[in-house]
Amino acid sequence: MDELSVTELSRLYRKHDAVITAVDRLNFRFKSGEMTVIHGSSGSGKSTLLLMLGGMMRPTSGTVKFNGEDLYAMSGSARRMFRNLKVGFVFQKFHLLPYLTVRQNILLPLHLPGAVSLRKDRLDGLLERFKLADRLHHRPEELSVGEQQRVALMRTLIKDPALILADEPTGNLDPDNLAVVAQALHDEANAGRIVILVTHNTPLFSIGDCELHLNHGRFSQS
Amino acid sequence: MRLTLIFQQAVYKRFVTVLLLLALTASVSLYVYISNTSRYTNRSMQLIVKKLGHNLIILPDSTNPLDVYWCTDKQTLFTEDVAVRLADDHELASRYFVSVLQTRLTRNDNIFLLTGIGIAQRSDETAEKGNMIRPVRKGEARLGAMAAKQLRRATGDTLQINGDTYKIESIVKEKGNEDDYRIYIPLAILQSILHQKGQIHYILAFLCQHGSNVEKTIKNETAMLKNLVPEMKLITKTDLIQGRALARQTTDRTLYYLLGLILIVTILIIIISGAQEVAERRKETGILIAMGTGRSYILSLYFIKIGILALLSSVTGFIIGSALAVYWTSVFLVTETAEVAYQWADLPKISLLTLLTSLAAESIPLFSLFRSDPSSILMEE
Repeated sequence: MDELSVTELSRLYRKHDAVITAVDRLNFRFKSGEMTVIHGSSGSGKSTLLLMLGGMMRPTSGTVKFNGEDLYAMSGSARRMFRNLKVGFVFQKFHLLPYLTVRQNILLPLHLPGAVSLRKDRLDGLLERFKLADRLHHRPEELSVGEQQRVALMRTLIKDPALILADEPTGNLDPDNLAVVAQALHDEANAGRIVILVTHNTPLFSIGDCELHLNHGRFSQS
Repeated sequence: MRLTLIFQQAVYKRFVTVLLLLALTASVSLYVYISNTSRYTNRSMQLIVKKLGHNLIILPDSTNPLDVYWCTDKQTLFTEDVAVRLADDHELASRYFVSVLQTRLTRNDNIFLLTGIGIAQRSDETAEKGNMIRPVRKGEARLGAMAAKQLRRATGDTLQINGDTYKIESIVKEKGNEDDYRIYIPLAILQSILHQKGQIHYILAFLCQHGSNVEKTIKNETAMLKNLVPEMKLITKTDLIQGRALARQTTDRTLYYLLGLILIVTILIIIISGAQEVAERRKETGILIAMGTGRSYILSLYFIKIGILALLSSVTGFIIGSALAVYWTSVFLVTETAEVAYQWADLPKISLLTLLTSLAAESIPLFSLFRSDPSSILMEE
């Protein structure tokens, strides 16, 4: 059982003379097997929170612990390894590398320094699940928006992460593709991962096991 | 995977990649062409100045140089072995040694300088440059312009000296000095006529400049000569040595300024294309860091790519630049030097210079990438 916990987590931004509080003394525990949906208005601190949870942004104060280990007490290389082995990010704009084929994009995380090796049947399973077997040698620009997001999802899932952090992954999708992505994230939570979905999409607010509303950097549980 | 990322990205952005490769190749070609042209122009200019004649006279310490200039009976004799010793010492900056024995000869109230010349050749003297004074073969004589006029002789005519007949092999062009009155014959013949076997009056030599300071070169040469043959002294035709040095300095400076300009243009090209690429690939940087790669890995993608392009362009640029020099430069050189050729020994130096320049220039736009916050990149949505 994996657990991600935040304690008194805050993040402040300084802009000129003003101090903006993006995340304000948050406390919460995210557990494996659960999907948490976080929503809130623009500028409420959702993306900042997600990046701090993924070891990408150092908080101003407070801690982020994964299975009891403080991410920001780790060395830079240890945190990189944590992201490499444990975290999978999904973004609204996919961030696929335009010059790689679908296959190369999906397998990219496995070829980076320190990555885990691929279980042979894992790629085939994902291709079948996301129906992209016939698109393996295409470039991202040759795919539809929905297909691109599915490739991004497969790139996240290929390394079997314990923690999936999805930042508005359905923002650019039509209802059919939205349903596919939402279902996939739900399935991953059911498979025992910690899934945290940040979204603006009202129909998705209730698909998780837990729904959190972020307002001015503070949680209010729905 | 690193090479796959580099190769695929370069192919995806092939237009930009090819343009950058062409720009680098053009810079290297220009560098090699100007560098080679300058080398041969410099050589050609040195040969032009060398044609002005020997710039050193080596004679015994006890000799009054005026006696040598006027060819009086007070000239001091010394053995011609000295010239051989000088030619054998490759530390000396001088070369093209000519042993000279001279005496006055009167014909029909005209005074001539009967001059015996012998060449003491250094083993590292090239055929390309050669001695400014050609040896005279046995049975032949060479006349100065005024000597030919007063003796009424032309090339191919004969001349009687001391009962022997000499065929005139050539007439030296008028110089406006005492050389115009010389009758050149082989040194050994004149030594035999004067019963002065193995003896000479002075040695002509040519001082090649080492370094950029003429005075320092002369001072060093004088000291070395004093050490080697203590009984001899050196008289320099300083204006000739300086003229040669200035000619060399002019071509060298022209080269440095032009190469500096090429270097600046190359650096600017790489900085501009690098800055554009870094800006275009910001998101890629963000996602790679989110996947757990380090900045050094991402920087290596850029450095390896520009490194490969630099090495490729250095080789192609070297070949193109050298070919241009081979086909164009020799056409306009007024004095021919050794055949303009591919300087393959320069290739490692050119490649290293291109590589280091490219890496240094690329590191400027990459500095901003190194300092950028990946989390802020990922939040730019």
